Amino acid sequence: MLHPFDMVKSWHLKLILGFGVIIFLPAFIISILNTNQAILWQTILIATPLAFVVFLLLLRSLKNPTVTANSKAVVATGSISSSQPAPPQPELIPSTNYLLDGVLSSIKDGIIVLDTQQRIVLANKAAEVITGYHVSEMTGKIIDNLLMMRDQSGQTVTFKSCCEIGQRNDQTVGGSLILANLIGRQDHSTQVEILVSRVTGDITSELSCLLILHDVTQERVFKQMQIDFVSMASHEFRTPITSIINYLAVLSEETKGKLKAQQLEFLSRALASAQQLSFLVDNLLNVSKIERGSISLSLHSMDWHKSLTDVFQNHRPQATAKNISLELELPPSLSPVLADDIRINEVLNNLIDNAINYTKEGGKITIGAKLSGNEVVTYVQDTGVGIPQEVIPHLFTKFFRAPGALQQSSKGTGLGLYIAKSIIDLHHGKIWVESTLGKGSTFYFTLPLADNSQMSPSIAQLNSNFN
Amino acid sequence: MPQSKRIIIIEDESFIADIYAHELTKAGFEVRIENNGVAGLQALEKEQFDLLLLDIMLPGMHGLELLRQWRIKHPNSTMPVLLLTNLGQDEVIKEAFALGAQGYLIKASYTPQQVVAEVANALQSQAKPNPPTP
Repeated sequence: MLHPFDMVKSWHLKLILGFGVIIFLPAFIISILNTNQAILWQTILIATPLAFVVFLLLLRSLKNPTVTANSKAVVATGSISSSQPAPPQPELIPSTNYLLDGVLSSIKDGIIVLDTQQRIVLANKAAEVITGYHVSEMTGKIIDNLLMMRDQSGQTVTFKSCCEIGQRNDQTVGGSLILANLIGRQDHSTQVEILVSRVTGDITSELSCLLILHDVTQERVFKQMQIDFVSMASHEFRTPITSIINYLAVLSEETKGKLKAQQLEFLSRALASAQQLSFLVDNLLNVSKIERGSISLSLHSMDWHKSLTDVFQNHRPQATAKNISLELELPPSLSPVLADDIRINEVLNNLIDNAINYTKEGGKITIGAKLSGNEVVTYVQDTGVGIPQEVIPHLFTKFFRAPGALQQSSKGTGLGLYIAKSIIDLHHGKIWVESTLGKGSTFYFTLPLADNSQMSPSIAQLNSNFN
Repeated sequence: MPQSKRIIIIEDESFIADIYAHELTKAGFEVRIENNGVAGLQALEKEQFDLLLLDIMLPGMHGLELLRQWRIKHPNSTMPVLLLTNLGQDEVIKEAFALGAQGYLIKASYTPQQVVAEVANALQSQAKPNPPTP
């Protein structure tokens, strides 16, 4: 908290105050010593309005802290070359609202405000904890000279570039979110989510960027514990599932001819349900692997024309059973692609199963592919219920199920598209959807050509970003 | 179909070991069951087997540790080894193949009949490992 006299920033206010003290105080002393009533009243008449004026001016300065034309709101030192003129030595913005100071100190997330030259003009207590630097050590420094940031792939990212992204996305509520390792004092590293947004308001002329640093270290520890739990739980679930599948399979085979057709059908349904349960556990384990970053690919050149033809043939019985027309649309030949055959078939099977699931009887599904530059674009097109536009951004997230007329009869955990996207991302491809409600959807994904791929035909691994 | 080949199953879950033994016996194999890693390794040392079906999460000795010790003592052994487990982590699969396993079967994804088929294939080819089912 500033001394009351310091609140009066301008020199002329200080002069008036001093003038008032000089006039009033001696006059008052004289009036006390001198018993002449006339002199006393004269002193009072002169001193009182003067004191009143001084009081009004003081009151005004308390309400409206003045930053004169000669003072700057921003500290700007940085490193200055000897050939350049020395920058002005500005002053900090006075924190006249100590309620705001208290709030900033109480926020658990680090807050750093930068000026247009990327210099730190404000930092709170939490920012000190995260960076390891005291506020006084940070203030005035160009942030990229003090702190370092590495993104998920280990690449160094500058705060300047982040602020530029934040300014471009200034229409987005909440700014831009970046997940990174923040390297502070003595190379201390902290895993943070950094929310970058543009400073708005009357002071944009000097300030540019607001960084909110959210320490996610503890959250990631808990998340890792959850992932490990899912892995072990999946294993434990599989043990009784194995027994159920095994005995039902053997019973189904050994009781043929001994049970009624309906009883055999019951056994068959029980076996199918157990296998479905096993598939769901597989999905959960896949998600666990994806989140841990430990899913691996075994990449090799694939005859994509043959692969799609095989998948088409495999799904024909399923489509026919639902009276859905399944078609294949391929050019006479296709260049081989670089992919993991098991993983990419998971993607294809998921997309085609979804298409069959969400298409009514009498509908049509087309599986196709075409060359596009250095990659092959594969698509699964249906005449199903379609997907609402507002849902599409969430479609590839975990546990999301798209609403649809056939929802009640559809199966799945909401993990299929999430897993599909993760696999395609690992192949350095893209996956997306175009859809019209009531008319149908087309899911696309790309795969690199085997000849031109940047990836070597070896094990590719989705590495964890925070090791 | 292979006849009178000796298969050793090292599996601690008796429900599971019994059903595999049931199917393998039906297929004409001679089957031995051991339900912990130490006893399993001792049995491998004392007797001759034509194929090993090996679980990983075993009492006494971890399945991959058993395999490691077997390879150290018998580096020239051509006995096919099929891992039969519900562990699906990629690093475990990689380690199993690095230790010379010919196959990695996720129990929950295979019916006993399919396991018998895999055993028959492995004995016939004594070679190509089957890709694990994730």
